[in-house]
Amino acid sequence: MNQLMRALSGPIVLLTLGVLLMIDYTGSLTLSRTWPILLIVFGLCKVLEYAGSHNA
Amino acid sequence: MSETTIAGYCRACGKALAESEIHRSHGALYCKEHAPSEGGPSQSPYTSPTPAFSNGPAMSSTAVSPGVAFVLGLIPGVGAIYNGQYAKGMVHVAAVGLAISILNNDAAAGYEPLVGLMLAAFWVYMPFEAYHTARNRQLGHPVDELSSLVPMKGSRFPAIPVILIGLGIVLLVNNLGYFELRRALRYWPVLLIGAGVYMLYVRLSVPGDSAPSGTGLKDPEK
Repeated sequence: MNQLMRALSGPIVLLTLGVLLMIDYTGSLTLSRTWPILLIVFGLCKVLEYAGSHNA
Repeated sequence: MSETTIAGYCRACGKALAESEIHRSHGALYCKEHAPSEGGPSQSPYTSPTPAFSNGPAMSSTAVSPGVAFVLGLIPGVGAIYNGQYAKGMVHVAAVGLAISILNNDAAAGYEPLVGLMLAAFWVYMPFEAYHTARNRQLGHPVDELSSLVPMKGSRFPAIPVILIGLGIVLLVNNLGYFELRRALRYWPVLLIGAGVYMLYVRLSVPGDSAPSGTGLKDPEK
């Protein structure tokens, strides 16, 4: 689980970036306002890595 | 042709090794010449907790030059690329680029000195970080892909990711207009109070005479 999360961290952040840019394109919610979501997602990935390596 | 069966190949020079000639180190095989000596504690701050993801061979040969790493580190990202840490190189480039565009863009109205100083500090940090990582590689320690960027020592609570999430939430709420950061920042002395309370808690929860002596709180001689 730990290694799975480590491998997925990059793609997940890239995905959220893409989603935020799409939302910017099609709405009034610009990336310059929603960029903290990237921080949140990156932090979540790191926390899940830690959680994955501490079962049992 | 030799009669002995080849059991592996040296990671540093590629020489074919019989079973008796293999020297193992950090999960890799070396010939007698290139086997890295145990130069320091194997748990250096740069060692990844999961060796399966250590990036690049732990070379003990002179192919890794910390001096070159330092000079290359002066160019954003190139220091990390020299050490084979490509993701970290991209992070470095993104950080420098972000700082420069913030300075250029008037987005950090009033905070330019701070961003400028942080950019300068980061630019000084990059070559030293490349130098130290190259030193560790030279000594044969396995080096993580994102070494020293997101340290998470095994069993400790991952403080930095949690801080990052908290920061992201705070900034997001600020950006979306729900709660302005400016209003909350007026109460910054609360942080001082919180730090004091935490220090109190730490000092009071250590039993016996092994309590660390703080500023002026020394135990009187019994």
